[in-house]
Amino acid sequence: MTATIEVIDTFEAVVQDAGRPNGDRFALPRSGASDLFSFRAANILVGNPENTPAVELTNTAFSWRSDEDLLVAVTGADVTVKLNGEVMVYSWRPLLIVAGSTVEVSEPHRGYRAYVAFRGGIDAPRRFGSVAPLLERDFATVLGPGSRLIVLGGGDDFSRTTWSVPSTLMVDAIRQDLLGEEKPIAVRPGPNMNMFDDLHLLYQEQYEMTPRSNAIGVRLSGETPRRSDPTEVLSRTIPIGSIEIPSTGEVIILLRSRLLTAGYPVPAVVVRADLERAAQLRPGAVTCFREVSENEAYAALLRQEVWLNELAAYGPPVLSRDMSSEEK
Amino acid sequence: MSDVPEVSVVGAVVGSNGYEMGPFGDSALYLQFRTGDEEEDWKKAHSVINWVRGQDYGFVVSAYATYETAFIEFDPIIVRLEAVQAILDQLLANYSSPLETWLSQTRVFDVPVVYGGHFGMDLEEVASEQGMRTDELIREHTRVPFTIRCFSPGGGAMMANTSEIQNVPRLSSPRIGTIPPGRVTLAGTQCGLQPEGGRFTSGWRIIGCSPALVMDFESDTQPVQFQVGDKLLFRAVDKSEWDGYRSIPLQEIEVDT
Repeated sequence: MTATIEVIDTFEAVVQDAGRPNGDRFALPRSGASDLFSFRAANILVGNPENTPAVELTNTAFSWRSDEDLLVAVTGADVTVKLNGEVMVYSWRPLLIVAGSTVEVSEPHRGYRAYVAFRGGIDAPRRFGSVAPLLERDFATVLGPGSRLIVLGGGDDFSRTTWSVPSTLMVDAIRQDLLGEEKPIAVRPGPNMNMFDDLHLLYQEQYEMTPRSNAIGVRLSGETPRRSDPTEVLSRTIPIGSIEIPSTGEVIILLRSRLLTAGYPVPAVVVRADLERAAQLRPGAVTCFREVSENEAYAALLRQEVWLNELAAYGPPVLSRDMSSEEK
Repeated sequence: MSDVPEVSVVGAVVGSNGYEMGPFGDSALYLQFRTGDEEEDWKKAHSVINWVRGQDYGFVVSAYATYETAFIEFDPIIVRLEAVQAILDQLLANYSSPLETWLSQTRVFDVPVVYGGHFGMDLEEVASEQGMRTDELIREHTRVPFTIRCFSPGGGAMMANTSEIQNVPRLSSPRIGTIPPGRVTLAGTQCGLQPEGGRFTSGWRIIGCSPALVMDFESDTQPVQFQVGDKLLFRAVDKSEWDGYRSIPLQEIEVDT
């Protein structure tokens, strides 16, 4: 069954998925959810396959009304979820939304990007197998006041479902790991680290996230190492997570919508496990970098994967109608 | 051990057989070919990537080659960096011509282009920099087919410009904004053909536009007619012919070589 959601208010929310793994065949960026971990978790929480289209909110609120029952999960940034004006449980839980209800997801209190997954997923147009925005082609399903969304699993009978948060999962710890600004962002040395003087500054200084950031890159300002080797770097493929220092005082962390190739030297690369934390930095947030070993990087990523696997092992969620009140 | 003089690269293994390989973060590695022969470097980079894609390895997230570099992103949960490096080292140690069969199936495509005017605002300037009249530059640009070296970021083709139009300087200030469809661009010794639409910031010089469908973004299965290694032969058409070619996919042609 399907349900129609009527968007009441939001600003440039987009329908998002995990991006285009085959886009590289045509030099298209990967794109997809900037905080892939939270996106996957949201889908797992409602029992969807991990790569099911969901809504990505970048520093914006999102409110809607639906004509059918829905099973919903909100993850990522810390937000408040209200049901018909009443504060519900906080996020990272499956929520049963009864037909005709109005739901309001607040702007983030902490973090930058939130994800709203619906059981069954959102029906949206695709390019190269993905609903993810393709900035180079002006392709995206952007939501605003009055937009309508078709939810493919809406209207199913969720009334007898139950789901319990396994105590071993420690949702709060994961949220703290994802959104805690005090923990440095872990990096591995990049192939061009020797093209800079004072590279140690990158690991000593504090950097502030600036509003000129987007899904292509997080821009930070602070005291930067200086490029000492002016040799031209030929345009080559650079990984997601690459750090660039395009000019003095500016550091860019490239996110999943980065162009495949670039000609800037890369002194360091953010490890896979910390890409989501970088994507959750909000304007004004202050962060720093720390070099980690390959094994540390692997261990951090493994922890995330194990967590998601455990979460999935408890699904598909089956939720009783009054669970939300019990939770609070 | 190394006979390839090179700046020190962190963690890179500089081989004596003309390539350098190293980690690029915790989940990718790069290969840079330096045989001293650009054509050879390009062939190897793309042969490796074609091979990797053909293997259908579950741990490969992304594989892409440019002019002389290859890049492989892997899933570190499934495979460790050293294992990927070992696979590639072994492949390159036994590198042989069957890896280059993709080059024997190359085709030539006809690209109708309206040169100059609104379609190619840099044509006159580029021609005068080259010491040519505009009709001479157009004749030279359409004389020989250019080999597609790689796809350009955002779609489209990057070619080696093997005509006598050489060392075309980029704009000192990149052009932003209005995007002519199917723009034909020059920079240095390269030639580009970009599909319609999208945003761009580029210092490449625009000498014309093609009304043909360069890339079909509605098609997931065959968005482009051409492959890396194929050739594009540009052909000047009058602007009155624009509508007749509009949105028609590039056509393969027979060319005596």
